[in-house]
Amino acid sequence: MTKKRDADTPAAEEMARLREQLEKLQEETSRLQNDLKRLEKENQDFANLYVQVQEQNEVLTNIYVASYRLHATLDPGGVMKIIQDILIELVGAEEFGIFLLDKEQTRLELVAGEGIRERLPATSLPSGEGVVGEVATSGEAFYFEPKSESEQEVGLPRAAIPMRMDGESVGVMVIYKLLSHKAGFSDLDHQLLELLAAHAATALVSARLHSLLDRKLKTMEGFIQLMRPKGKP
Amino acid sequence: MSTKNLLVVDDSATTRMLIALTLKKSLEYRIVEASNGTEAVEKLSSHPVDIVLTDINMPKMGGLELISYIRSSHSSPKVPIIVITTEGEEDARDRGLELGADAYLSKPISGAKLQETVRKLLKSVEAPGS
Repeated sequence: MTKKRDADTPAAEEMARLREQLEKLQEETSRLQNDLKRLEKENQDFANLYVQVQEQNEVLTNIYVASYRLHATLDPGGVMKIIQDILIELVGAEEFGIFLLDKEQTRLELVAGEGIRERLPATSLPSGEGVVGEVATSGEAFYFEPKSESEQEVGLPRAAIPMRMDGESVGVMVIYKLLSHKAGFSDLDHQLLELLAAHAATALVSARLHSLLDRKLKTMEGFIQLMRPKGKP
Repeated sequence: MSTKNLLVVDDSATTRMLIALTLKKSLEYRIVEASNGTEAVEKLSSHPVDIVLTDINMPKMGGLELISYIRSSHSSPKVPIIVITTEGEEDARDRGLELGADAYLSKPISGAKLQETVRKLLKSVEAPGS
C-alpha cells in the first residue's frame, strides 16, 4: 500500500503543479486579452480624435484663408470680388447673390452675384419680406436642405446668411444653388459661411468708408489746388 | 524624406493660398505659385518642380495647354500633374487626363484629399511599379 502511495505522489504533485501553471497561464491570457481590447479601443479613440483634429484643422485653415483674403484690400470692388471668389472656391456655391441694405434700410440691393440673372430679374428685394428679406430684419441665418428633387424645385435659397456689424444688418449673402457634386452644407461650411458673412460685413463697411474718405480727400485736394494762386506750387 | 517642390497654378489667389497653407503644414513641401499657365512656364524654367497642381480655366494660358506643354517639354516631361476642376468641367478634366495629367481634385478642395493625392503621386514616382 505504501509503495503504491509513494508511486502516486510525484505524479500527483506534478499534476497539481501543472494544473496550477495552467490556471496561471489562463489568467495571464485573460489579462492579455483584456489589455488588447483596451488598447484596440484606445487606438480607435485616437484614430477618431485624429480625424476630428484634422477636420478642425481644415476648418481653421479655410477660415484663416477667408479672413486673410477679405482684409487684403480696402477697395470695395476688390472686396466684392474676393467674397465671390471665396463662395465659389471654398464653399462650392454655383449661384449666389450678395445684397446690401440701402440707406433707408427698406430694400436689399443686389451688388454682386453669379449665375442668378434669370432667377432674379429685379436687382433689389424688399427688406422684411420673403426669406431673404426676413433674414435681413431678423438677423437669423436660413438654411434649406431639400430631401428630394421636387423640394429643390420650390425655389427657396439654399442659404441666406445675414451680414451684420455692431448688431446692425448691412446685407445678406444668399446661395441659391451649390455645385452638383456637393451634397449639402457640411459643419465646416456652416462655420465658414457665418464667419465669412461677419468678416465680409466688416470688410465691406471698411472698404466703403475708405472709399468715401478717399473721395473726400481728393475733392479737398482739388479744392486746395484751385485756391492756390496761379504760378505758385 | 527630402523637401519636394510643388507648383500651384490657379488664377484664384484664395485657392492658391489654401493649397499652400494645407501642404506647408507638413514641412515636406516647398510651394511655388503661378496665376496662369504663362507664369507657370516661367517658374518651371527657373525652379525645380516635383509636382504640378493646375486649374483648367485661367487667363493667358489655361491648364490644358500647360499640361500639353509640360508633357512635350525636354526638361521635365514626366513630372506628376494634378488637375483641379469645378463642376461643368468634367470634359476638360477628362481631356486633361488624356493629355497626361495623373490625377484630379474637385473644388471645393478637401485638405485631407489634397494631402493624400499629393502623397500618393510622389510615392508612386519614388517607387515606380510598386
